[in-house]
Amino acid sequence: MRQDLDNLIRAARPATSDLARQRVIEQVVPAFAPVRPMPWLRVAAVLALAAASGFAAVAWRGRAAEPAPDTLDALQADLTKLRQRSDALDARAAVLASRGGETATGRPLDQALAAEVSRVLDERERQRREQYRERHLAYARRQYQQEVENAVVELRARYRLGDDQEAQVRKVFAEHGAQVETLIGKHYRGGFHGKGRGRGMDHEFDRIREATEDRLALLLAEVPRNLPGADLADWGPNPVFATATDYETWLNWSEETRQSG
Amino acid sequence: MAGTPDEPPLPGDSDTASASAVPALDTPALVAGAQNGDRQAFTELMRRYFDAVMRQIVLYVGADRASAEDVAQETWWRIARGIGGFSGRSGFYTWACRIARNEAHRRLRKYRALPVLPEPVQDSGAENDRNDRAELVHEALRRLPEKFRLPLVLELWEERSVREMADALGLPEGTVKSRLFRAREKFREVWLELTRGH
Repeated sequence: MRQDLDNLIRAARPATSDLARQRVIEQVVPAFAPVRPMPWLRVAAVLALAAASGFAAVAWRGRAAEPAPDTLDALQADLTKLRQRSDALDARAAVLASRGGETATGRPLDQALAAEVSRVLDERERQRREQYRERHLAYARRQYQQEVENAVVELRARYRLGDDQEAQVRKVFAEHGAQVETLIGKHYRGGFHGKGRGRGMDHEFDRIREATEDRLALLLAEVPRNLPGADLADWGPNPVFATATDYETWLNWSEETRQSG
Repeated sequence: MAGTPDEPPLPGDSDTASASAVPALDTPALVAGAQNGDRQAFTELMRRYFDAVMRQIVLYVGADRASAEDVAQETWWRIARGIGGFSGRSGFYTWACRIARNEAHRRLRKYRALPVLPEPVQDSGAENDRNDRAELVHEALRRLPEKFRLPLVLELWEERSVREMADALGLPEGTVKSRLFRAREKFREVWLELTRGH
C-alpha cells in the first residue's frame, strides 16, 4: 500500500521548465538587493528618544517652576537650571570617582541608570508591540470580513442555504474570527512572545479551526472546502497584509510565525 | 540548521555544478552569502530550489504555466528582497514555500472573480485519466498540512535524502522521519476520502 501511494505521488510530479527557470533567474538576479534589518538602529533611536525626552522634561520642569515674563527670560532661567544641574552632576561624579575599589556595575548611580535604560527600552518595546497588534488586528478584521462574505456567497449557492441557515453560518464564522483575533492579540501581549509561534499557538489555532469545522459540519452535513481563515498563515503574513499595515509589522509577524520544529 | 558541506544539487538542476562558482556550499552557507549581498550565492540558491518551489506553486495555482511563472517570479523577487531578514529559525525551503504559498493565494484572490477558461480538450483518453489522477493527488497534497506536505514532496518529487531534507526544512533528522511517517498516514486518509465513490 505504501509503495502504491508513493508511486502515485511520484507519477503526479509536476514538470518544470528549464526555460522558465532561466527566465526568472535572469529577471530576478539583476535586481537582487537584500534589505537587512538593523536592530542596532532601533536601539540607537530609542536611546536618542530617551535622551531627548529627558532634556525636554528638564526644560519643561524649569519653565513650570518659575514662569518668566518673556521667552528670553524663560530661556535664561532654563539655562541657569541646567548649569546648576550639570554642576551638581559633576560634583557627584567627582565624589564617586574619588571612591576607589568600586566596580562600575556596583555604583548605585550606574545601577539606577541601567535600570532606567532597561525600563525605557521595555516600555518602548511594549508600545511597539501594541502598535503592531492594533495594525494587525485591524487588517485581520477587514480581510476576514471580505473572505467571509465571499465564502457565504459560495456556500449559499452550493448548499442552497435559507436565511436562517446563513445567519447560523455567519455566526460560526464571526465566532471563529473573534477567537483567532484573541489568539493573535494574546501573542502580541506576551502569550507566545520570545519562542516564535511555537506549538502552543499552533495547537490553539488547530483547536479553534477544528471546533469551527465541527460546527459547520453539523449545519451543512459536511465540512466545506476553502474555509476563510482556516490556516494561521491566512492571517498574515502576505503581501496584502504588508501593504495594508506596514513593512515592519509584516516583517515582525513573518518572523514570529515561521514554523518551529 | 545542520551543515551539509557536500549537499548535492536537486534533480533537474543539471547545470548547477557547472554554472556556479559555489556549487559545494550547503544551504545555510548560501543563505548567509546571499544575506551579505553575494549575488552568486543567491543565484545558486535559486538554481537549487527553483524547481522544488515551482512545484509547490503548481499545486496552488494549477498547471497554467503562465500563472505559475508569474507567481514564481514574484516569489523569488520577494525572497531576494527579504532574505536579509531571514533568521534561519525555519529552513530556507520552508520559508520560500511559505512566500510562494502567499503569492499564489494573493493571485487566486485577485483573479477569483474572473471566469475560468475551459481546459483544452485532450485527444487521448489515457492522457485525460492520467491528468485527472494527478489533479486528485495534487488535491490530496493540498489538503495536507504544510509540515507534512513539504517533507513528503521533498522525498518523492525532489528525491532528497533525510539529511538533505533536514537541511532544507531546518529540522532534526528524527523529526523529518516522524513527519514523513505521519505524512504518509495522513495522505492515505485523505486519498481514501477523496476517492471514495470513484
